Amino acid sequence: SRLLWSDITTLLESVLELEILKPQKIELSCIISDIPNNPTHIIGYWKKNGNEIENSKQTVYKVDKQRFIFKRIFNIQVNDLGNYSCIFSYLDKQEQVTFLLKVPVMKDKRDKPIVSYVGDSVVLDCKIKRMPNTWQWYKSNGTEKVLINATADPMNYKILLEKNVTKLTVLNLTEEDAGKYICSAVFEIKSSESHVYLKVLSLIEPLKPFIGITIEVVILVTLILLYERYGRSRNDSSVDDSSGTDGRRTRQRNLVH
Amino acid sequence: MAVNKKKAGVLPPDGGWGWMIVAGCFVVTVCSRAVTRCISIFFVEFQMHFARDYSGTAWIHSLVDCTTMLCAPLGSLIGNHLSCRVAVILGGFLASIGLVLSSFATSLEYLYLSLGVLTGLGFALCYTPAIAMVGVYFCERKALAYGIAMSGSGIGTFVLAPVVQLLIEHYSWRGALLILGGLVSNLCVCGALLRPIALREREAYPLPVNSECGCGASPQGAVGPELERPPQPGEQRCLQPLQEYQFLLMPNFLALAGSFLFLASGCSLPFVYLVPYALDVGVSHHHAAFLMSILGVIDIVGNVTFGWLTDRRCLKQYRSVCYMFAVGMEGLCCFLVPLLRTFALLVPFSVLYGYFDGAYVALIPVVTSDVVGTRYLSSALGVVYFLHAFPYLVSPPIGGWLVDTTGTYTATFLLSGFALLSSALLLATVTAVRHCQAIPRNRPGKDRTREKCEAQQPDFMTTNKDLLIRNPATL
Repeated sequence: SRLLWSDITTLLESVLELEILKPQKIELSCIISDIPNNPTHIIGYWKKNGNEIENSKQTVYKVDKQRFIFKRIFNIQVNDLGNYSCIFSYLDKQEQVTFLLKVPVMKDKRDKPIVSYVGDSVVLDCKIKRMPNTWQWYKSNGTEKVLINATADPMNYKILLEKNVTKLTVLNLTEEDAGKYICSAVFEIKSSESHVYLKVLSLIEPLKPFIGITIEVVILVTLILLYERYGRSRNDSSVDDSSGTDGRRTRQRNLVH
Repeated sequence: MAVNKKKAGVLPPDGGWGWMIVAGCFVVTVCSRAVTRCISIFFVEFQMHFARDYSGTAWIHSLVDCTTMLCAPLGSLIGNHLSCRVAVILGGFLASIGLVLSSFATSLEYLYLSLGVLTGLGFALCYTPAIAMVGVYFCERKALAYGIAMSGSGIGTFVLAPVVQLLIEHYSWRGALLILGGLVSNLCVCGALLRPIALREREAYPLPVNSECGCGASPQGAVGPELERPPQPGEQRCLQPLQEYQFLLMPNFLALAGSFLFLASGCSLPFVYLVPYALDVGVSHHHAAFLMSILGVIDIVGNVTFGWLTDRRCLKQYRSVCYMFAVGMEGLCCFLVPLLRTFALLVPFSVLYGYFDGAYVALIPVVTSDVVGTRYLSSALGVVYFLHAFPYLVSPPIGGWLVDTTGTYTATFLLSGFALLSSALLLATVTAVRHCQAIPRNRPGKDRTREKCEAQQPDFMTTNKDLLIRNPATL
């Protein structure tokens, strides 16, 4: 197991995020400097997930003229991910810094569903920054998840695994294929999950606005051509009415076809 | 004294139904130019669905742009021989079918054909006839009309981009393409608006325009040196194909064409490389996208305001000078880009470049119609946009090659600046030479321009089915 340690200065009340990929030993150290009134020692202890760790309280002495170093080694196994805080008190004050130990998270928001059509195919994808051991896809049925096995069902599913990206292709879509799909990046220590919603529409859905617009176009074209014909027949009838004596005067009018 | 002389066509209305034509052309520009730009929003979806990378999908956009420009002469040909109305309605039909077919695509190659070729062809058939029609209907306020009509591409992109994004979210790309096909079929409505009109031409071009043979032109019973025999009443004749392209031999037009070639080579580069350049010098993504938005919005402003400006009486005779000024200023802006290395300095560049870009776009049809006249406008515009095709296709990759070999964007922007300045200088030189040659002939260009839009003594006639109803007493 590797030793990893983290080093921070007085960024009080701040949270540091650490991505843990596999079980290992981690040393978290808090380096505190510039405390007013320059005490000779301070009292510090550690908390895990808000609860004080037993026997973690200790007196910390100055390392050199200004700094206190307060550190501890933690053995992080599968259940040990969470918030770790080092808390130290001087005079009447208490300060803390929190380390957040977690698996890499897929941060992109997927609140908009992916839309596709009955009989079509659709590609759902997931991306993550660190390379997991493998990926897995689940379909959610209410509260429980069902694993999608692409090798067992090659007519309907295809899974592509490519380092940091995975793609699930769902073929021959039907209405039942709609719902929540969960992609899971499996790390040694824990899995990181993200979901995407799939909506399956029938072909009639986009056809409705299309037919509406087409009807509008036909109506407008007919109206415009009728208006023109009406205008022309009105002009023609006014020409026939006038007598020939105006023939000499220049008559300007729109010649309309 | 024939009474025929008194039964003349009309002057360009400069209003009235002309504004409906402008509205129609505006919608044509929205449906063709803006939709072309919005197709790139679909690329991410195509890449996911067909498992291809960016370069495979980028071909679609190039194909649409290229086909639209290459087939522009075809559009003006159909407009001349049938009618502008038929050309636009046909184009709208084709483009709409192309988009509807694309919604059923099973591969990227299918999309190349349906979206790239078919839709591009449809747009080509609408674009040139609609622009030509605006030129026929306006004279005094031509530049303003063109400014309003051409602002459609800017406003259309602005409005259509979020709409397309919304459609993709609700209906996925297939449904979005289907509905977009429906929207594009509104081009047929624009076609219906293009009411044909018979114009009376100014004395420089004694052969009048007759609407029965399309919006381009046709010699109709003219008393002019071009025709050998007097026409029979009621006879309609269309321009023979060779006559249609007579303007190609005009030295003025050749100079204009050369300058357009240079212009098209230079003008697309800054649009493509501004954002990468900004990111390269350290501007954030957010700010870089904002620069493009500024370009787009100021483009619209430039369209309309420059059009209005060059319609003012004092500037009207110097319209080509204004055009050269706009292009030259763009070139100068490009030269200064390598010196601008912060967001605060790039904003004025975006504003200036965007304004002059909008300015010259509005003036292209105006300058072309000043050179060739309303009669050949449709065919000339076809040739002009055809000349845009090859530089549009070739110059962004050349710019990219320059960036890759030199490692900086300086060479690309310098190339763009040179191309734009050469375009302006070429036109300026030829205009100056013609002006000096014209002075001893005692026909100053100033008067010629002024006569264009004023009422004249009719000394020729137009025959037309409607006009055959003549009072025999006056014959």
